[in-house]
Amino acid sequence: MATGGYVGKILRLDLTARTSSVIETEKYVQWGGGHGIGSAIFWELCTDKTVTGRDPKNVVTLMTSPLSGTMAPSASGRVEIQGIGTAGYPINWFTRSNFGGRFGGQLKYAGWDGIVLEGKADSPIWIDIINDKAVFRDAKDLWGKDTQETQQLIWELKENEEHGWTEIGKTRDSGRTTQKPAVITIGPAGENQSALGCLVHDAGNAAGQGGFGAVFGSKNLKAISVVGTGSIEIADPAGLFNARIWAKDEYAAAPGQQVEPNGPTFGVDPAPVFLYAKNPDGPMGPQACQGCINGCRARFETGIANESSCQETSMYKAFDVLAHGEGTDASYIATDLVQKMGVNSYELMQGMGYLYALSKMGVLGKGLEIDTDIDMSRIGEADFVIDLVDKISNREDIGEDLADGFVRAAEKWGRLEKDYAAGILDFPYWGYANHGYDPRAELEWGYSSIMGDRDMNEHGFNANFWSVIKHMMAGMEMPVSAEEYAKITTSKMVPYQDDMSMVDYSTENMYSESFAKLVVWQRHYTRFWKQSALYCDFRYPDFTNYNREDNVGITGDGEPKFWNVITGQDITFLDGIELGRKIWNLDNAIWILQGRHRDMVQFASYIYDIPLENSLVGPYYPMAGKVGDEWAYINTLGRSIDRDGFEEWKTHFYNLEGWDVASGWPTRETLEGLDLAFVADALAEAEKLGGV
Amino acid sequence: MVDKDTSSAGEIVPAEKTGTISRRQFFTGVGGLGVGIVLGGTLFNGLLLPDEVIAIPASQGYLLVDSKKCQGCNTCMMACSLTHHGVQSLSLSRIQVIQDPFAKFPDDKYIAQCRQCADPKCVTACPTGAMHVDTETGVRTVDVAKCIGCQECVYACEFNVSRAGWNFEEKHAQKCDLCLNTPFMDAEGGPGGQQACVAACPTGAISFVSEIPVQSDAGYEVNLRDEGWAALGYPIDDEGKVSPAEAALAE
Amino acid sequence: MQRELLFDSATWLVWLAPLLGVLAAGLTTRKDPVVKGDRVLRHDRAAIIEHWTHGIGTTVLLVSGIALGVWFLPALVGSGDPVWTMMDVHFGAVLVFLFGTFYYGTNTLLATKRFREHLPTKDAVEYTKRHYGLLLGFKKFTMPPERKYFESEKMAYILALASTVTIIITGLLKVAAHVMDIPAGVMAIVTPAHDVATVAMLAFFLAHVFFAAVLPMSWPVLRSMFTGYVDLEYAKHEHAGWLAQLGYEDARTEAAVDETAA
Repeated sequence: MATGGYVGKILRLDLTARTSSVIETEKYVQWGGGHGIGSAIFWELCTDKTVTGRDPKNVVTLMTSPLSGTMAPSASGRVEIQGIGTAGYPINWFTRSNFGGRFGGQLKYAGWDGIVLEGKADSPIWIDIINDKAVFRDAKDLWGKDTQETQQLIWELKENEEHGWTEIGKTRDSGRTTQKPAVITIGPAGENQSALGCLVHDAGNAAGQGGFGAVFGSKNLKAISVVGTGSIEIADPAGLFNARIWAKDEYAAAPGQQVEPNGPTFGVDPAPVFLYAKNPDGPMGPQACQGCINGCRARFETGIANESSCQETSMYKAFDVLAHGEGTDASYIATDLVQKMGVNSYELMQGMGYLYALSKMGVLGKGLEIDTDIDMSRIGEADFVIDLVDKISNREDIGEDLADGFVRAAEKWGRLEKDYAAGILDFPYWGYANHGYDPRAELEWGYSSIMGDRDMNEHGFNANFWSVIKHMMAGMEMPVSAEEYAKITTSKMVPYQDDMSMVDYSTENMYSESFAKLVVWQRHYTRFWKQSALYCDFRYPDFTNYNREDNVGITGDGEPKFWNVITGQDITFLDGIELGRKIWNLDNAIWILQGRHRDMVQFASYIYDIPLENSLVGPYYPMAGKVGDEWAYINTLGRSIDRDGFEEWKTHFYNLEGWDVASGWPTRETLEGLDLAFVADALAEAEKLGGV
Repeated sequence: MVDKDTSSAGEIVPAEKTGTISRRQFFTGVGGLGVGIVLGGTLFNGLLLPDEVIAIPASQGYLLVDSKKCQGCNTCMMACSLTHHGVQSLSLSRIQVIQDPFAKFPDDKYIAQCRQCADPKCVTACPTGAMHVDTETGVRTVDVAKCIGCQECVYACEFNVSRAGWNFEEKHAQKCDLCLNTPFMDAEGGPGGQQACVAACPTGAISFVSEIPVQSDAGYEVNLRDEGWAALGYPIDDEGKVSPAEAALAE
Repeated sequence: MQRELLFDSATWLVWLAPLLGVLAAGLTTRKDPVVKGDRVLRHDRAAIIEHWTHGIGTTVLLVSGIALGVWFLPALVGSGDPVWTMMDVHFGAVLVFLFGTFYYGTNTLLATKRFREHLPTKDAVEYTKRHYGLLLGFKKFTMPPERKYFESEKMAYILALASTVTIIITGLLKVAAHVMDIPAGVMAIVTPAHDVATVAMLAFFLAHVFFAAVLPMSWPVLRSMFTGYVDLEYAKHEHAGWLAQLGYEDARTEAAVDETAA
């Protein structure tokens, strides 16, 4: 019997046969939830892990956690999606993405902890889940529609209204709801299997990275809709309510009030996070994912780019300003467009930079070496981005070259090495776009990404960069010194809590074992607490929290508290991190079976050869670090990664993980210590077991 | 033991006599008199008695919800179902937040909370008094033991989304009781105590008041947005049509 | 929008129905069972009316009550109008049921032997063992001289009686709750009791319909519930004890008389 928080069943869909069956969650509860369960199921059900992302044998999981759909603050709204992606370079890694909103909650209320997708439908379908029934429906009327139209059409299908409540089923007691179905859908880009296609839910929740849009498209799966009218059992209901109030009173921003700026952490206020060149300043209201302690988005009087915040709002910023001298509506239109069309805004952002550089070099344009009908002189205008997105969505013109991502396009154009060397193709790791938190400055971002399979998108340590920048821009003094930041942060990084040098970003420390500890800790913490338990990356980890006298954040106490009060288990913060280590080892085994080896774990050449001179806010990239014996917020610009130094660092990393240093493969001893003997056996059979 | 029946067919079986009235006469009389009383009483009630007007006490509490301050996180709905039923469910929540992600602010959210009506149609529609007014607190709430599942209250609610909800798991009507009966909330509920949704709302979009709010058919007049809210970049005028930037320009 | 239930607009009919039953009983002439030629009068007109009003009432009450959702079972009808219609159907059946049951009850009080003949005797277990043992094919058993009602039926009657009484008391309280304030604590017992009695009644009903109407061997007596008469030959085999009570002499004796006369 699954414990509290879990609803006990995972929906397994065979898209080829159009049948559904049930997997008992109980079998996977030991993996926690979200990513842990997804990896375990993938390991079992995807028998040939070397297939590409578009292969029908690819197995995709969408997984919630026991916290989804509950009052756990900023841990209720997210869903983890995994499978072999179509974006990773040079290998379509088994990868992950994640989206927020209300889909996870609805899935739980419907009685499902997650969904498994296998096979491929012989014609376009969408999945209609209403409580315990999953129906395969013909998507011919949805195919070709954008993400907004698709969702609105699906919402219109739900009838049976009884005085404002929609009834499920035909009888008085069969369940009712006021909520619209929660839908995750692809747009035309995904339908045409472009790796730039992503999944979109409501107006602004997207699983963008990894090219899952193409994976859905390759399975002829247009959308999944879910309506749930049931309930989730909670082990200690009064305890959960108390815990939520505790988190609100002790750590959150006071309701409806502005607080001291910080990076994306637990204590921030609900002002929307805009990175437009000119932020919208008309009437708007706040919008948040289910259960968030304070949200990060808004909806507007214009209705344009509703629920969009952060990176997707900065996507067109540079070119908008380039064309107009300042930000204009073109940016809002561009953001709105990628949400509706379901196109990866990160790929597009750095990709447009690349296309612009190529056009400036006279290589890309009408009648040029890379021929395109797109008028490159219009970059920065709304019509340019509309045209480009259209070509990408339909795989026309250079859209066809871009169908496997910008890095493979460069390869197709015979320009990969030279454009990397020139630094104009800003995709530093595994073919993923630079997040803006460059490996050369914000070391852990690059290291974590390269030791994994994708741009990591984990803001735990990046929050400090933003905290310092925001105080600088506001002319305010930082409430914590660099040393205090280091002390508070590292004290939470169990079991490595005694090493403050973990967060020393100085050049002297950049290849040290201490810095390897940070990344090892981060891999394990995020694999369980964030990607499996589904604590939102924009609120956790909460290391420093300025709403508190002592500036100490909720991380370490908060995560296990909500987990235990909901499930009835009694795990510690460290228990979760250990489970994260187990899941991380399983993921690495999958990558090894896909062909991973230490030797291929390399950044793009410019990361080594070209020092970084600018951050996304200017010539300053502050992180904590030591200057001699003193801690300070140091500027981490002006350096690149040294190849030998990186090799040293990798060796530290592998040693800390207990993996073979020559190959980067886990050893039997390490795996058996994690109850993963079956993984060791599989690696041994493939002759890829570490240390053999 | 059973005796032989020595009576012959066709005769009226003589009833055992008790005193001067036979059993048969007694029952005939009771039946006839009873029928007469029922018919007469019904006639009397139907034709002669005027309709009673019963004064319904006002509720001692109301929930003001500012939909323009609401972030649509549904925490209030989860708090409601958790404290009343010990589970997480949106369908069992007595406050409902209804959104359209693609709509324009402020029309993207509609919040259906019970308005604790002065003339509660749900109470008058209930045939058994299950939906009633609590005498101590004025809270309009359901006595679950008396609910017969007719759903008259659900259909009687005057507002577009019925505030009287149907609990299809436990099979009885339910509605916002200002947390009068919340077995899973440690703090005391009811108008004199804490409301789960008010306590949980992250942005402070729900407020509890004791006086009947100013209201129209569209809803309560409510504006819970202050200068602190404007500092976040959100409009604080009643209609939500003047952003802080626009307000600053106007000055 | 909502519409008023008959339980509310016509509550007076619920009080009227049983009293009409009482009155009717006071005005009713009964005929006792008697042998008439090759058949026996088993049920007089009053008995037929009692049975069918109570029976049809019960049937419709069970169907409508279960459709509305009994105890832990969900409703089978949709929200709103279908619920109100089913409650009105339940109301109509209540009237028929109350009339029939009180008609029966009063008739019985006026002739208590009719009550006694429904109660199991000391022979209950033995007769039932012999009767059903024989039916099941155990040849060592012989048919007992069952009386007007089989002992097994008389045992089942206890269940029917208990559930009927409970359902009427709780049902009348539930109707009373529509016109006066009945404490929640009382209703918290009344409604579950009504539901438990419903399940008991359903059990009796299903068994009764099966044994009395579905089983072909019961069709002769089923016929008597319409016509009033049961076949004499049938009664000789199935209800020998009853015929003895009626003073009937066995045919063998008559035949012997005939033979000697021939």
